[in-house]
Amino acid sequence: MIEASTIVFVLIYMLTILLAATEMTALSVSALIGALLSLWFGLNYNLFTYNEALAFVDIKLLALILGVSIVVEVAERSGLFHVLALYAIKLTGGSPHRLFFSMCFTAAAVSLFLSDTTAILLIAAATGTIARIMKYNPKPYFVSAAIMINLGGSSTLIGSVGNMIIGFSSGLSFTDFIQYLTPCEILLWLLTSLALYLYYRDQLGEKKEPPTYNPWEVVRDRGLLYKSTIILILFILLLLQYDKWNIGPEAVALGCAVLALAVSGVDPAEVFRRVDWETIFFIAGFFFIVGSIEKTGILAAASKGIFDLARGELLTAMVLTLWSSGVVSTVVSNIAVALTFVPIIQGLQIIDKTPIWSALVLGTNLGGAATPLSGAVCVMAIGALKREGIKLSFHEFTKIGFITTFIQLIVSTLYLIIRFGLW
Amino acid sequence: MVILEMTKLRDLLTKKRQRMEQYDEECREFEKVMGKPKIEITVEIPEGMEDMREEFMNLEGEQRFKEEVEELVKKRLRESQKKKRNKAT
Repeated sequence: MIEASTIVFVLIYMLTILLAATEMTALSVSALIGALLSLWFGLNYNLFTYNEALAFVDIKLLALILGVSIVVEVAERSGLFHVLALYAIKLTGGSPHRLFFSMCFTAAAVSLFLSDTTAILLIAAATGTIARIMKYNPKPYFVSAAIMINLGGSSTLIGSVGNMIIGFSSGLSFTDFIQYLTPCEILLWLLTSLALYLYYRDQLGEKKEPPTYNPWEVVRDRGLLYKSTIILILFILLLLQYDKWNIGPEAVALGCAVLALAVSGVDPAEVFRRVDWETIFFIAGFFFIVGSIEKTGILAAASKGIFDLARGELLTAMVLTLWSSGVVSTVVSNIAVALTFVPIIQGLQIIDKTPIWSALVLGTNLGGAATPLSGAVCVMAIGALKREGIKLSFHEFTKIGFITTFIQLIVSTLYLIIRFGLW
Repeated sequence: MVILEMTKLRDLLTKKRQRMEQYDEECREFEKVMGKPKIEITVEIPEGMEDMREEFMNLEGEQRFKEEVEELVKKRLRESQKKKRNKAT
């Protein structure tokens, strides 16, 4: 018999997802409303105490997101990613085919650091400008950029907020992510860009004389660019080492953020204004919702359900996690999917859960570009295309989005089976 | 419900407009580097001609005026080129 309190918390969860998905309220506000309701009912049902509720929020995770945002914002202000995009175009020598692959890989690479929405704005603007000059159809470039940006960063701890959530909960370090998932991401970059190329190759246009320009012209302060590049490299190097010093990645991120603010000379108020507070508040609110649901025992029941369905087999549990998280994240925010799946996986009675955590990382990331509504990156790409005077239908995007997501999930399944020797 | 829908619509449009404004700004940055270089200057109405406000404002869209300015630019650039060559020899 399901208790009334369980039904209340499931309804709060569903209400939050509905509010967020329909954009009836801002993403952060929907989670904060859910958090407030969860707190109110949780305290009234004596499900948890006030102090227990405060412990639902993982401050270390929020600190990591904040630190990464500041380091990347300073680097973005220096023009570093603009220079990279301009070089990526210049080196293609006017060939639309080379331009296509170059933009695909640059899009995926910049999204290792930048948020998806910032990355698509940058890549779409660079591609849109060159497409206007060379009179190319921007559609193949914009759609492919959105799909590649969603894919980029799925194998690093700081590549997406979903990864940070899973990394903290699973205990997988920055190096663990690289060790277990980077080969898969490289494979996915190659296969996805190839699939996109085969789909769009007839629409790319003819080779033309490219404009001559100096990519460095976009940089206003070279000193700032050098400093932020050094800090970014230092950040990566420290992330590779932190687990040896008994500190967490949030310490490295905040340390580098302070360094970036101290030496860059950028106005901190400007940087703080550009931090993605919407995501930070969404996560903080969602922690209360998931924490309350966890207290009802329903997530433990879900863990048991998955375990029973998999008949205790690691391979089946892994495949179930990959595909269910992948499919759910085509309609629900991948942050919400990660936060919900984490306690379910933690509850599984399986000793080595690394393959399942890896499956969750891939699943939550890959579902984000299946339809125009799967993620903000797709909405932005379609908006930018409209700005260029081209209309892209829901069906048109979904067709290619679905093909690439399906390929990615199949390849990931095979990779995980081989990587963890589960055949 | 209608009010809620209107609010949602307004928020969605505002958010999208803000993002697209950011897109336009990024495009301008890239256009400056990859596209034809452009300069923008502001010219104030000359002193003593304030009563010719309408004629002055019309100059902005006048093709002949644009051509004359382009000619002036060419003349100035040729002069700079000549000066450079003279210095080199």
